[in-house]
Amino acid sequence: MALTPERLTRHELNGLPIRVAAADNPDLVGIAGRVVVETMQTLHVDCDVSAASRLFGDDVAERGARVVQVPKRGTTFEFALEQRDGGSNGPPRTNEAAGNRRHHLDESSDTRRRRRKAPGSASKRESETAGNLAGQSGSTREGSSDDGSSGDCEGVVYVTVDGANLLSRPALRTENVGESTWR
Amino acid sequence: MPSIAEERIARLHELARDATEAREFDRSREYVRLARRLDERHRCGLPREFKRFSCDACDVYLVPGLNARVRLQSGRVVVRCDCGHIDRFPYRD
Repeated sequence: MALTPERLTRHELNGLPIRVAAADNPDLVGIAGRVVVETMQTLHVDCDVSAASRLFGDDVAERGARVVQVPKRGTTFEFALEQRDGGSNGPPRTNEAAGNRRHHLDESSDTRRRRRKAPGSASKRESETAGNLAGQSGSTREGSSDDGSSGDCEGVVYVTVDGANLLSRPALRTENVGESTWR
Repeated sequence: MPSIAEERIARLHELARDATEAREFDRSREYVRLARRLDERHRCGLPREFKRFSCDACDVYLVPGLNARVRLQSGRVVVRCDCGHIDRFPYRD
């Protein structure tokens, strides 16, 4: 259960490199850094990380050393997932999301799609449409190294997520899918 | 195959340790509290190292020599947080 693009909204966001791709508040666009605190409706982004400019290029707003609080609602975030080992997308399985993602990676490199999932949706929805959603939530911009090669690519996968999908208490975000422990 | 909750706890473990080493104690507390909350929601347990190196009273992650003092007595390890809380763990020779 590694941190893959399709599991990002259920996984830990603290510590991930992040960039604000679009927002209702235009002043927030371009904030890049690292998530340090997550609350129910906001993310706190530590802007003083040089890795952010390495991952997200030069279109990063200069903010200095400070932590900004970004609302999740109405904001589109772009996370950078560094693929440490090719294990998650190495062997292409038939029903697995990894295979679909690689297809989309070749076809549409610059069309960014958001995942459409209502916060707190029914549990079956994610499991049913996991395969279809995978390509949409997957990598939409190639990283520094070559992503086309299979196996040991060490590229960076950029995942664009609508902030409305993250509206949840941080500890409960993992539980939206599957059987409850509390039955 | 660890579940997502266990992976999140492992990530929070690293983040809490890094936060303590960077002297961001309140941030470390938030990470430890979130990990404990995940544990109690998912009934997956915390790693032993996490349990022993987080303060039961003030929730901060403990790094020996930085914000925790670790001493040995006969039959037990005594970990004292900077907040004054003391944890004792038995050991066998």
